[in-house]
Amino acid sequence: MVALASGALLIVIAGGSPTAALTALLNGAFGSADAWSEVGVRTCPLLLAGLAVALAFRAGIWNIGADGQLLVGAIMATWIGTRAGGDAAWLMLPFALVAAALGGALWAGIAGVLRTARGVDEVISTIMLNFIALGLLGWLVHGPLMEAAATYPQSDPIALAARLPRLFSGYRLHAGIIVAVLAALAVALLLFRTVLGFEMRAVGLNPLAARLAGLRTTGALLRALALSGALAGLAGGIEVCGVTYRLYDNFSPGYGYTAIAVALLGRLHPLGVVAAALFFGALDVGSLAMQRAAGVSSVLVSALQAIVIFTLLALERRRRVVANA
Amino acid sequence: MSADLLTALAASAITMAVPLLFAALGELIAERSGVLNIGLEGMMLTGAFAALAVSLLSGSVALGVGIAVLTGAGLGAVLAWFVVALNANQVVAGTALNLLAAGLTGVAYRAVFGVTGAALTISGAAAAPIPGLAEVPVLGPFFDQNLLGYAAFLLAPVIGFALWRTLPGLQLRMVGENPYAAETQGVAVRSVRTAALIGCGALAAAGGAYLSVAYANTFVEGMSAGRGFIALAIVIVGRRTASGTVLAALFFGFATALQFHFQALGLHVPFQFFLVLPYALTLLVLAGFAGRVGAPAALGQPYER
Amino acid sequence: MAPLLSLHSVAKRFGALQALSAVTLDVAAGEIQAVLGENGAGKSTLMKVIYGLQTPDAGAITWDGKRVRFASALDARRAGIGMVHQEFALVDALSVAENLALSLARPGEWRWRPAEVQLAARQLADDVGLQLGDLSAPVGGLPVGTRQRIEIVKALAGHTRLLILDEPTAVLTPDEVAQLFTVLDRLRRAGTAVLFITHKLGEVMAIADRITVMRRGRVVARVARHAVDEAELARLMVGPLAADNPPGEAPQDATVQLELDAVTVAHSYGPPRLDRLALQVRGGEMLGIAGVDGNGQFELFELLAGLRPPTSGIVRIGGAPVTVFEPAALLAAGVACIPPDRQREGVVGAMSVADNAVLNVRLLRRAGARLLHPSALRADAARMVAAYAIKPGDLDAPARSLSGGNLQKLIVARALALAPRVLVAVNPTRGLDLAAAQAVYAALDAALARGAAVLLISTELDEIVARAHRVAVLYRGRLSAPLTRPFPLARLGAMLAGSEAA
Repeated sequence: MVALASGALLIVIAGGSPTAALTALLNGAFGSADAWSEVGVRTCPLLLAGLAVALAFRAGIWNIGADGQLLVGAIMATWIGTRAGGDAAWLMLPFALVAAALGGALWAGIAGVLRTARGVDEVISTIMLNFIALGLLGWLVHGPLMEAAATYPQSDPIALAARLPRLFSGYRLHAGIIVAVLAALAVALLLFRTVLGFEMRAVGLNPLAARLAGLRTTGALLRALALSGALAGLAGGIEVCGVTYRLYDNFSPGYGYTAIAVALLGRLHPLGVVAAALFFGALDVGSLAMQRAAGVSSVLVSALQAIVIFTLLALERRRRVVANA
Repeated sequence: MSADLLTALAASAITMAVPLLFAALGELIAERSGVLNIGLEGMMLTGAFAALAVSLLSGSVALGVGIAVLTGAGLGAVLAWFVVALNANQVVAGTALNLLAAGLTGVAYRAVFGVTGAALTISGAAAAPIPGLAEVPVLGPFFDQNLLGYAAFLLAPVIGFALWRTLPGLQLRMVGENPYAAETQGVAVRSVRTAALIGCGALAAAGGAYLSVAYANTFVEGMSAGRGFIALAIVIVGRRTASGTVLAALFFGFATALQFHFQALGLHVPFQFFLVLPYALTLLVLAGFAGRVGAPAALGQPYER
Repeated sequence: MAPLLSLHSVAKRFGALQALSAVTLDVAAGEIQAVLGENGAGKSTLMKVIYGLQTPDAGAITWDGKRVRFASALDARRAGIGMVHQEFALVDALSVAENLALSLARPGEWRWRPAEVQLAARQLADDVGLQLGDLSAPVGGLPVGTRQRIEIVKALAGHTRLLILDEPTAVLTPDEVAQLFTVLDRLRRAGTAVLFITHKLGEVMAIADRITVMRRGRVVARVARHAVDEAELARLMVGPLAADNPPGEAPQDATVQLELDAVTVAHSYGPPRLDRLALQVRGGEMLGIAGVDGNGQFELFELLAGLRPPTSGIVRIGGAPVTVFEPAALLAAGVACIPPDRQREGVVGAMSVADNAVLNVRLLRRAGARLLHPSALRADAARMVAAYAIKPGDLDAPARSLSGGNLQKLIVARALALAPRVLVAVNPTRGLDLAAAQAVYAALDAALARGAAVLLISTELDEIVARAHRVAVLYRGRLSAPLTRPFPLARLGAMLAGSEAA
């Protein structure tokens, strides 16, 4: 409610009518089949990156690097996808996605190794790695991966064989959303139905007690960070194979940061993350429509994301106070 | 390499260092008090916008900078409310602040100046060269800055003095190391941390103001462009001391400046190499000296008694 | 003469725990008053109330004839109250002088001038006969005795009229205790009031003028020292004694389940924390390790929990030497621990009671499986909660919502579910009420009956004397030869102070 009220206030400040804006937002997000499809398209990377953040946070790792891991995943998928297909073209798509996940896992793994071997705070290292990934991307699209025509700083489009099939003809919604939802189920199973997941949760909440109980601590931590990176990398790979088909500067509009809001709003529960990703996906798509219809800027969305996080932080505190009383 | 080229390089290195130094000094204060402020980037961005908007509307750059500093202090107070009063997670709250700043400055910019924002330039802060010194080759640019630039370099020793030579500074460092010990000696832990964050916000916003009204003379959405995070790195590389922060800021400013001059220097490396340099360097430093060396013992931990 | 400080009917409650009820107390200038009570009797809470760190729920505090309400430690300090906390409030990274500066600074001073602070510190320390050593050294590397002296100087700074000491001798050697008492005596003669919190009878008789005895948050007696003796104090302190329940005969022929052979744990500076330790415990036998806190008990626990490898020497479990010192390896060898800090080491407070009941790699991994069996695990948890009468019986409540006693029962239940060969219990009844303590003892007995070797590491000598088959004393990292029943109490007392260190 607080978030909604402040959102309305912001819209007024931004010079719009809240009701018109809200109508436009809802219409833009859910008013047509195309809108639904677009919401799905937008939800997909947010869901996977949100899962990445939720998994890491559950294990007590403050992975702020989902954005960089996502970019490395996108780079890997593009790299595979722009190689010639050859005889085994059908292998190309799975290969691209696996490479994306691996790339993200390795990128996160750098932070994991730095933390476990050298005691480097992952907050700082993942932030630094985000910018390094951004630089890497910039260099690649201006250099080695630049399109053959060498006109724009972008890669060649990936091969048709590397593209995710669309679910309905005429709409952009692609099979990646199925992968993302399956990933949510898999993360839920991992966290609540496996020994490793139990270890991750316990380590995240009390590393000393977990270690005394004979659980893996360093191992669980590294695995959680690698899996988190893999999910974020997969988000980038799916974005390339399902939506953009190529790589360019500013590939990610901060998905990895929005993912933090998604994960927190989803209360770090995989199924909650699904709902939260859908919410933010709809907000994203709806806000574009709102901009067109009500003249309210779409950058408002990141302010709304911030307000959602702040509201949750404030509520979290209140809950704690109530619980302790 | 010619003296002219060196002088030009020094000039841009100093120019690039000033906003970084402002923000890093702010972060130094915050971290010494035990708060890791990830929201530095958002504070800079807000400062940049506020300075330009107020300068443009009022015609006074000084007023613009003043309002920007106040706005930054306000953001610091907001962050303090979450991480000090509510004990919210510092990383999450800081990230939210960055998102908030990105959104609000974008919205406000478009609301005030329209979507195009074409030719939104101002004359900016005037340079105030110190006669005699400004003409010296290589080091001259140091004495040919605007007032904000001088302020940044003067603030560093002032903050160093305040932190290490005064009792309030000792209180602040104590709060960062062991808030419980500080409280038993009558230090109001929460007030100290709140004050540190307000100061941090003011300084970060001053850095942002420098970007818009003294360097670019315009505002572009997202114009802080990661400098808040470089400032975070500077504090670490500078080992959380005032002098280390100045040196690291100059060095990172130099690394950033290289991207404008590397071709003239005959370096054949991709442009992005220089963009990445500060971040990569920070990782190397952290890996080399082990992460928390020099960090206040209570950094990042909320204080609940 | 009117008392300097008086408390009337002060009460304080933490959740379900009534920490203080109707506490009345007065302290006069120039007297040393002991507040005596077992761990968890409410002594520390009482001191925090006086010092402004906790606000009382009810009652009145009068200071120097005026009704007061200290909202913070600063208020108390300004009024002239100084406190030395049980956990030292020192900043390791800062120098001695920096640690003292805020307390010693002249009013209105804003500069931090090391030379002036050092001078003031020396003066104050000399007045009461304290040795501080190098004032520019970082506190982090200083020995415990020096740290305490820094704390005392800090507490005395600024015309302190009442000095509160919370368990000051727990970390001191007998020599250091004697020095401390000399200092306290000087303070008394100078007219300072001293409140001395302790649970040690001997110290009370040695130094106090008057004694306030607390039990379970209440004042049960206020007496002058010359009007009582130690036995009377002990009776007041522990209340109606639980029937002493001497253990059955220790088995003579059972296999040795736990053996330490010349085990040394070195430390980067100072003497080794454990020095050539040797001991043997047979199945069905309980060996008590007595000692004053800080003589190596924690390191012994860390060693047997697998948190810290020995520098040299051999640990054998069931006859087989331990090669890997990791918790998982020790658990696999058959060692289970009841750790000293329940919240920090025993449970994951935010996870449910059900999850914590099976928080152990051997309980989670059935036959090495990677998948959890939620229903089976939950059934295990339900069995433990029922068998140990853990209240409330809500399996989904977070573990941190349990009271100390129920939390400890959960930890004990889990340790026994591992069917250990060796059970290591560290201060297992600290802070527990009688009923919970009895439940813990019953569990230890059950472990013995099942043939486990039990190592009871405790700072409570009474507890060890009442339960163990044999007792050895740890003193500065060295273990005495074990004594057998009946235990010579006087000799044991002397051994705690280092009289027979091996």
